[in-house]
Amino acid sequence: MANPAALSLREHFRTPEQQRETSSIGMWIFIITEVMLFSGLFMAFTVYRSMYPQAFIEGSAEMSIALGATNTIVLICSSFTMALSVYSAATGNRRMLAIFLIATMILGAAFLGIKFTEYYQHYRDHQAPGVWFDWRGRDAAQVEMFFVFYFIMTGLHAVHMFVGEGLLFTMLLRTAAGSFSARYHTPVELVGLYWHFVDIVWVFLFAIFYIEGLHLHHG
Amino acid sequence: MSIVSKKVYLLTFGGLVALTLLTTGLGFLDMGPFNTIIAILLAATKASLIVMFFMHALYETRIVRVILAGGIIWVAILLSLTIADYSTRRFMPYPANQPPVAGP
Amino acid sequence: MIPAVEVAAERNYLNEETGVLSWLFTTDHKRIGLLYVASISVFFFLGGLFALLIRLQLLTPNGLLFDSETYNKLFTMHGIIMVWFFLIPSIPNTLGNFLIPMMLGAKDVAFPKLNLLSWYVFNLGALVTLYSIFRGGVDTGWTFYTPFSTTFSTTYVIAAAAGIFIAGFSSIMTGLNFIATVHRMRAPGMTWFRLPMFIWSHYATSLILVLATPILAVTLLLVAVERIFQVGIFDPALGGDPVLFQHMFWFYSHPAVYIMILPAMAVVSELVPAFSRKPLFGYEFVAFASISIAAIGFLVWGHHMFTAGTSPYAAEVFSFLSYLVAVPSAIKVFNWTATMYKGSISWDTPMLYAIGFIGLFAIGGVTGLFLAALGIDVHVQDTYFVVGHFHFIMVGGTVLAYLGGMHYWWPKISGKMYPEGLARLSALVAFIGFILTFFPQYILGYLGMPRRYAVYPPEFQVWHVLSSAGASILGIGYILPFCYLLWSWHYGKPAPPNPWKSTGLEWKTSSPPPKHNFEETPVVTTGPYQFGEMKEELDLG
Repeated sequence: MANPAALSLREHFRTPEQQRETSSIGMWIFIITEVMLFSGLFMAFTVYRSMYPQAFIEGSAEMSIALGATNTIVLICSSFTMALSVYSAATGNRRMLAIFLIATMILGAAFLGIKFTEYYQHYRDHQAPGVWFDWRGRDAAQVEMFFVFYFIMTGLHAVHMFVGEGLLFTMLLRTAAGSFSARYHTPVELVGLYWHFVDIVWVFLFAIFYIEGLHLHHG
Repeated sequence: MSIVSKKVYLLTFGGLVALTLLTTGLGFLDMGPFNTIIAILLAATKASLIVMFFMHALYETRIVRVILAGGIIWVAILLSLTIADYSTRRFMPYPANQPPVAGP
Repeated sequence: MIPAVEVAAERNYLNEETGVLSWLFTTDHKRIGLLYVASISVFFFLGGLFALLIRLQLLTPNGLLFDSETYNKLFTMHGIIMVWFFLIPSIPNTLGNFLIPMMLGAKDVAFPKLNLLSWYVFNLGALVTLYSIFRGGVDTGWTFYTPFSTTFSTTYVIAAAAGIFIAGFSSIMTGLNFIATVHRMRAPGMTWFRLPMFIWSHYATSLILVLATPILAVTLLLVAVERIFQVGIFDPALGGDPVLFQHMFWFYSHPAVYIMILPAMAVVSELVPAFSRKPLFGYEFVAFASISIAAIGFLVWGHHMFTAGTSPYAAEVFSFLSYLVAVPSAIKVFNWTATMYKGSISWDTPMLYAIGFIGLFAIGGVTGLFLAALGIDVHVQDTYFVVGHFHFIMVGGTVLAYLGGMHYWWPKISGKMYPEGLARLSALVAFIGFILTFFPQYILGYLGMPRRYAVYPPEFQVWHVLSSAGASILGIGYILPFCYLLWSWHYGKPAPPNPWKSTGLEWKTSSPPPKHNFEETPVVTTGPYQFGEMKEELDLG
């Protein structure tokens, strides 16, 4: 069988090593653009959080810490299995690669399932911003703003999760087709980078949305 | 591309789970402004663990580390210069500089 | 379509494959550059049409043609199209795409498919924005200031913003591609300090594209969410802060000014040494000036908001930092002039544009310092002084450099020479037209004429008439090159590989270049701009 690394060398590169490093640089730059994207939202959130501290903590107290903490653990597990996927790819173990990719996908799906359960609960409790929103306490407009940011930021994160699931699925197909080997598995590495980045975003979202109002919890 | 051992992954994973539990546990205490500060610091620690070990930043080429550092610096620029405006507005309280009035 | 080249014997990137599909599915960076030329030319003339209507309206104090609402839409669409669909992609995506791999001695950019995708995404974004125009336009100004854009405007804000949002991805793809290309696709021996200045400046541009554009995306996303769901994000009635929108918008849009001017500087840094027959003066200084403009450019956005209610302390910091960015800009201007000093200058068309650029950029830059000064800014904020200032930078700077670069590299791109006499004349026409259009706007602004008004007091009329007259001359200065360059594509004299006796790898291959740029990968042994060594060659004939 022909060497997959040689087959996958595109004509404008001189060596496979050059191609791998170029792809890796490209992925890291892309991740930085994503960092900037989310940091714009974090910045806006920070400004309003400092303007209306009480309302934002009130809003945070409405989060379900059980679901949120579970979801964090689920996502950390998925990052772990993703890291093991890259490890299996690098050691040329295609069977374990496929297994870990599937495990990562299942954990990702579990995360999304829990997330949408939470969304449903907020909707049911009239906490979804817009005409449906109903807040009996003080500072209704400011609490609503907290929920606006909650839905935008976790929603954007969920969109990234869906994209990640799609990427994992294509990796699975390519693994099944035998495209990867110990010498050529750059796409798995890059998808891994993306997946871990999405995990990092969630780590911060968990801190700012779930933890702040925990001490006066009534959700 | 160096291969990171499974043991490193396992330790990282354990650390992340422990830090998540710590974050959640500390959240139940009322520490005033430190609730936020500690939550963010712990999140940053978790993020560094992921970047260094899961994303192999420790083992990557110099250019990748430069890219990463650049990203962090630019986030800092965005946050610090904006906050510089909001945090100094109240120093000179004349009407034009009052923060927007809260809604009814 | 592209005509069959007469000398069919020589195979190049234009005749290697033919047919519409070979262009629509190409991954060749040179062809993608030309696809971009086609796209942005359309948008340039569309944006120019809106400018023409604006200048017609302002001929008389009470307005000839439109009511205020229509006028608002005109300047908005002029701004949106010119900024996002012409100026941002103008030089990087056309000349940059065409030249960066060749200057590095590479066969293509790092990610050729991504490069093609960026063209499609760009056009998709443009189509979505055009949709908003055909449905009646947008009236928020190109800046989409809240709460007008989120709450009060009844026009197609979301469609216009969505188009810009989509086109932003195209910017990011291009920037990412260029950075990876410069890092990893250099030919053997092409060290960082042997890179042509064109590469350095485009590298700096790409950094901004990658770091700033995501913030624009997220800002427009927030505007769309607020507008669709009518929830409080920037609306002060719901607890929001409209100034936060301005922070986020200008965090992108001020660096975006450097996305427009840095590639123009890239072009001029190539033209000046080539037509002075001297190495670029202070190479390292110009190189680091590019990078520092990109970096410091991110620290100054607050100077757009001095009168918007930001803290006076932050305003002082932003004002100081704005002065700082003038330093690397001035270094560049001094180094270009020092390059020309005692050089053997030839007055070919590209050099005319380059000299025009240096003069106009200097004026535009210095008036920028007026605006960065807190006290003066309060007087001229939102007047025609600001309009004059940024048109000096964007039109006098970027567009002139774009035209200069197009002329300089046209023999390489098309394999044909353009008519030199006509080209010199048209450069002169553009320069005169430009000065006449925009210099009166400084005076208008200083006298107190606010921007974005459809009518004005009669005492301003003389300046407005001058400006409108200049605009029509400027228009001729744009249409002429467009016509004779197209003409020369068919009928021009065949160009030799190196018509200007320039240095640089792009001149070491045939005109037009072969599909993979070089017959074999070049090996670089010297820095750029070695005109001294070429002198003997020239003397020998």
